[in-house]
Amino acid sequence: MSARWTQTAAWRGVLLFFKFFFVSLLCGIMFLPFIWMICTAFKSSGEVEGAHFWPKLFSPDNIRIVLKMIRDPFTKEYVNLSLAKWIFNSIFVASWVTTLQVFTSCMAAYSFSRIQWRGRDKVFLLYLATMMIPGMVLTIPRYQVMVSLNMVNTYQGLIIPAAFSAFGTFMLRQFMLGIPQSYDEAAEIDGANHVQIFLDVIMPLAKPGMITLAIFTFLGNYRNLMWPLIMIKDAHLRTVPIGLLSFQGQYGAQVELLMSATLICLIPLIIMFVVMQKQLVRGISLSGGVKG
Amino acid sequence: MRKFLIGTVLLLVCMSVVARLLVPRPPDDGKVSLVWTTDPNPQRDPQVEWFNKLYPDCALRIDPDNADGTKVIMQSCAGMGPDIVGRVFEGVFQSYYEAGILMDVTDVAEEMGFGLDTLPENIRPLVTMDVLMDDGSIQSRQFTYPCNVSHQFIMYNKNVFDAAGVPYPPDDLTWEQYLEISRRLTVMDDKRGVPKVFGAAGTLTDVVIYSHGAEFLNEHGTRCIMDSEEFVDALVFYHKLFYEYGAEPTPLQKAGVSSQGGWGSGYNNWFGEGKIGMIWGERWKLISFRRFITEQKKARQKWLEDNPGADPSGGPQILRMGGCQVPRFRDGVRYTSVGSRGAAVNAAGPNRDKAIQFLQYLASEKYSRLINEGSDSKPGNVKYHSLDQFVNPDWPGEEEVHAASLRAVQYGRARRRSMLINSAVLNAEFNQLRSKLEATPDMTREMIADELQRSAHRANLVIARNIKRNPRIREMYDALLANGAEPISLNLEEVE
Amino acid sequence: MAALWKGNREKKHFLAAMGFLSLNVIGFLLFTAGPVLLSLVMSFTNWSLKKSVDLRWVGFRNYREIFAEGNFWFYLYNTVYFMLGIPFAICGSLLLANMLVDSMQMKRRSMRLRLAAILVIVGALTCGFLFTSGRPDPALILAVIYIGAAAGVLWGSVSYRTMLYIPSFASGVATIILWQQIFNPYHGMANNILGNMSGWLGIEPNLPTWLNSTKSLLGFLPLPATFSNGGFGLGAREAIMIMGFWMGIGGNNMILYIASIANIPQDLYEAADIDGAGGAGKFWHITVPSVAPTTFFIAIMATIGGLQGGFQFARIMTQGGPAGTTTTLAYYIFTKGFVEQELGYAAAVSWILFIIVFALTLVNWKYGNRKMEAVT
Repeated sequence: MSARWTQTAAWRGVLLFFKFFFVSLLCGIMFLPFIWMICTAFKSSGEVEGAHFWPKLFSPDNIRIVLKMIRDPFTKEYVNLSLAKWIFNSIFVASWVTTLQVFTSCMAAYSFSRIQWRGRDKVFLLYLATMMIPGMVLTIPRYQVMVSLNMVNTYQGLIIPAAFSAFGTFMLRQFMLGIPQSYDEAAEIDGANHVQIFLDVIMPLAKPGMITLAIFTFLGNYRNLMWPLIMIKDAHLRTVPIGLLSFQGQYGAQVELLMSATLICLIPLIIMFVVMQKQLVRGISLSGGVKG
Repeated sequence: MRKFLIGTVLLLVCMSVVARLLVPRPPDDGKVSLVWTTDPNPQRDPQVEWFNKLYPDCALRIDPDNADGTKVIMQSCAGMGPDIVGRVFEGVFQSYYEAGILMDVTDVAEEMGFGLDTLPENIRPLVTMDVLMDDGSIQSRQFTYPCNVSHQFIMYNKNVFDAAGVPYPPDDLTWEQYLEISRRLTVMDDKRGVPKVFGAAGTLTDVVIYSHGAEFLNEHGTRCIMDSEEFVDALVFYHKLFYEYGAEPTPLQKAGVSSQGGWGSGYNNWFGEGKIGMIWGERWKLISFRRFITEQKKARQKWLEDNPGADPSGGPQILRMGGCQVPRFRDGVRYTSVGSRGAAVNAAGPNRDKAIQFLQYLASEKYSRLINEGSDSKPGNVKYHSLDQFVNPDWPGEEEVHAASLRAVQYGRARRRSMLINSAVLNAEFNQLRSKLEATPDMTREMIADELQRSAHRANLVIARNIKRNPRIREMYDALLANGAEPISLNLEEVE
Repeated sequence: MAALWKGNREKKHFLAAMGFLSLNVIGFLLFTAGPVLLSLVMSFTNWSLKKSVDLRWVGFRNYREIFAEGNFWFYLYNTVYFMLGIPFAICGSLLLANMLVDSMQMKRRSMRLRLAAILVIVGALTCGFLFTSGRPDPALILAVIYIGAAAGVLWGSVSYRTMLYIPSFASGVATIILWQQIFNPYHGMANNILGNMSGWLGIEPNLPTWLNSTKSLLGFLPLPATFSNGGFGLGAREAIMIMGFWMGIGGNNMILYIASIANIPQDLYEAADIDGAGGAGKFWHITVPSVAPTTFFIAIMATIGGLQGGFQFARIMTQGGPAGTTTTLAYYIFTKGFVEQELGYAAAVSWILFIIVFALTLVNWKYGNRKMEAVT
C-alpha cells in the first residue's frame, strides 16, 4: 500500500514543494550575516553599530571610497589600498598553486590507490600523519628552508611550498578508491602501461574529484593568511587577505570601509565558484554515465 | 581535456609575464636605502620627508606590514630584518634585546647628542637595559631612542561637567574626589540599564597599583611580588571601580553603548560625543579630538543656519577640554605611568652607521617640532618640552591639556624590569588575570588573592628556571646577589 | 632492494609507483617531512629565538612541564569542547548534500519561467508593502528568501549550492568582525532575534552576553577553578561554535558529499525502489553506506582541523578570553612559540597534540576501513 501512494505525482509535488521551501528558508538564514555585511557596506559610519539591516541613509560612498573614486571625507585623501593589484596577486598565486597541486596530488594519489606495492599503506599513513602536526610549529623551519632557497618575499615562495599537499593526495586517493578495479585491469590486458591507464582511464573518471580539489585549493589559497603573512615583505606582492589586514590596521575603526573592500574582493571568487561549479556538475554526470 | 590543459598553461604563462612586468624596479640613484618598520600613521609622511631632506644620502621609507614583533624577530634571525626597528614598546623591548636584534648605542649616542641626558629621568629606564659587563659590573646601556614619550594624565569634557553642574576637577586630584565626581557625572539610561554618560573611563592599572604602594617586582627584579597585601588591595580597588563605584565602564556596559550618530566605538569617540566625563590619556588623543571638533563646528554652523534666532546655548556642542593629574589617595603619593615608543638600530643591519643618524634625527629640533605640532604625545628630548612649543595656534583651547601634560612629567614612574624574566611573560600573566577581573562581577577578595598567589608563583618559577637553565642569566643573578639583591623565592636546587 | 618486489611484474609496478610519487615526494620531504622531523627533535631541546639562549638537549623536560601545568588541560578541554559540534556539522552537511544532489529543476522550461515569475511578483509585492510601511528589515530578509526560491526554480540546486557555499569562503578578517557585531549583547543581531522571539512567546529571558560570558552548555560540570567555568548557559564558546557552523555546514564537506552521492550507481536506488523502500530507507541503507569513504575522509580531516583549530577566532575575536575560555591548543602553541618564543615548548605541545590526533585517526582508520569493506 505505502509504496503506491508515495509514488503518486501529487505526493512528489508536495514533497518537492516542502524541499524548496525548506532549502530557501535555510539559505535565507545562512545568508543573513552576509546580508548584514552588504548592508554595512552601504551604511554611514554612524550607523555601523546599529541593530538594523537596511541603511537609514543608503549611499554607495563607501564603495566609491575604496575604489578610490572619491576621497575619504575625514582625512581628505584617497585611501591607501590597491584592490586590483591584490586581486591579481591572489588570483595569480592561487591559479599556479591549484594547477600544480592538482597535478602532483593526482599522480601521487594514483600511486597510492591504483598500484599495488609493498609498504604502500604505511607510506601513505606517514603522509597522513604529517597533516596532524599543527602547522604553526612548522612555520619557522619552513621559513628557514625558504631562506636557504632564496625564495622569501617572492611569488615562488608563495607558490612552491603550497604545490605539494597531503590533503589533496588524501582526497584524490579516496576518490580513486571508489573507481572499480576492473577498468584498469581491462586496460592492462589490452597492453596499456601505467602512464596510459593514468591519462586515459583514471584521470577522466576522477575528473569530479579533481575539480572539487581545484575549487578547494583555489578558494583556500585565494584567502590564505598565515603563510603569505610571513613570506611577504614588499607591498607589491600583497595578496587580498594581507592587503585587507593592513587596510584594517590603518582604517580599522571604519568598519564600513573594510566591509566594502571585502565585498569587492569576494566578487572574483563568486564568479570563479559559479563557473567551476558548472564544471563540477558536468563532470559528475559524465562519470555517472560511464558507471550507470 | 587536452585543450583545457593547454589553455590553462597558456593562461598561467601570460599571468606570469604580467606579474613580472608589474614588479617595481628600485630607483638607482646611489642613495642608501633605509627601512623603518612602524605604523602607517599619516604623521609619518612629513617625518620621513624631513629626514630625507636633512640626510640627502639616505632614502628612508616606512614598512608598516612588517612591524609586528614576531615578524621582526623572525626576519632579523634570517638576516632580513629592517634597518630601523620601530615600535619598540616596553612589551617587546626585552624580547628584541634577547633576540640580539638591538644595537648598543650608548657611546655613540653621547657623541651625537641623543644620550640619556636629553631624556626625562623617568623615561631613561625605558630606553636602557641592564647589561652584565665583562668586568662583572652591571651597567645601564642605551639601546633605543624614543619617537615619543607619554606621561598619563586626565582630560575632561567641560560640556559634560557643565551639564551635570559639577565643578571642574582640581589639578591635584585625589581618588576620593575622583570617585565622587565620577558618581555625579554618571547618567543612567533607565530603559536599557546602561549609563548614557560615564563619569570616567580608561583607568590605568599601573596607577592604581602604584597608588597602593604595590609593585610587580622587588627592587632588583629577583622576585615577583604580585602576591603582596598591597597588590591585593590594589586589585580589589580596581575591581570595585567597575562593580561598586561605577567609575569605569564594565565590558558589558561598553558593549551596550549605542554609537548611533557618532564616529564609531571606543573611549575617544565617546569622550568626543560627550558620553564620558573624564578620560585617561596623553596628548596624542588630541589627534582624534581635533577631528571631532572640525566635524562639530560644521554641525553647529549648519544648526545655526537652520535655526536662525535660536538660543545660542542650545544645538550641537563643540568639545571643550581641560586637564588634571591622575588621582592619588588623600595621604598618598602620586605616580603616573610612563610610556615610550622607541626606535632602534638593527644590530645585524648592513647600514648601521646611516641608521644611527635616524636616532639622532629623533632628538633633533625639526623632528620634535613635528611631534609637537601634530600633538603625538611628547618628543623625547626635554629641550622641546614647553608650553609655547606644545601650543598649536591652529587649535586654540588646548592650553589646559598641554599644561597638564607638562606637569604630569614629574609624577612619572616606569614599571620595574627584571633581567631574569621577560616582561612580556609577566604581562601576559597579569593581563589574563585582569581580563578575568573585569569580566567577573562577583569576585571576592579571597578569589583575587588566590589568583595573584598563583600568578606570582608561576612568575617566580619562570625566574628560577631561567636562572637554572640559562648560564648568562645565572651570571646576571650572581652579580645581582653580589650587589646585595634579595635571593629568589624558590629553592634553586628543587627546580629542574 | 630485492625485498621490495617479487618478479618482473611487481618490479614494473613498483618503479611505476615511485615514478608517479617522485614529484610529490620531493616537495613533501622538503617542505613537510623535514620541518616535521626538525620539530620533533626540537621538542626535546630548549629551542628559542633568543640569541642569549644556547641550544641544549633537555630530554623530556618540556613534556613533563606541559603535564605539570594546569593550563594545558584547560586548553585541551576547550579544544575538545569545540570539537563536540563536529558530528552535528557533518550530519548537517550530509543532509544538505542529499537534498541538493539532484539538479532540482523542473523539466519544462516554460513551467520554470512561469513559477519564477510568480515568485518574483509575489515577493516584490509583499516586500514592497513591508518596505513602504516602514519595516525595511523584514522586507529585506523575506526578499532574500524569495530571491533564493526564484533562483532555485530557475537554475535548480546550483543556485542553492552557491548561496550555501559563500559563507565558507567569505571567511576572513571582515567576517570575524561581522560576527563580533552580531554577538553584541545589546544591539547585535543574535540577541535582537532572540529578544523578538521571546517577545512573541511572551517570556522575559535573560539574554546571553555571548563573547563576554564564561558560561557554557557543559557549565554544570564540577570542573576545577582554573577552568574558569561560569555555569550553565550560552557563552563565548557557543558563540564561536555557532559561527563555526555557519562557516562549515555549507562548506567543503557539503561539496564533497555532493560529488560522492552523485557517484553512487543509480541501479542501487532502482533496486531499492523495486523493494519498496521509502526515501528515508534509501538514504539510510544506500546513501549513508555508499558515501562511507567520503565520511571517513571528512571525519579524519575534521578531527585534525578541530584539534588544530580556533586560532583565527582567538587571535582576532577574543584574544583567547574571557578568562581563557576560548584559548584552544593552537592558540596556546602560538602564544608559547611566537609571543614567548619558547619554540621547543611549543613543539612539544604540538607533538602531544599529534599523538592525540594520530590515535583518533587510527581508531577511525580501523572503523572506516571495515565499513568500506562491508560496502564493496
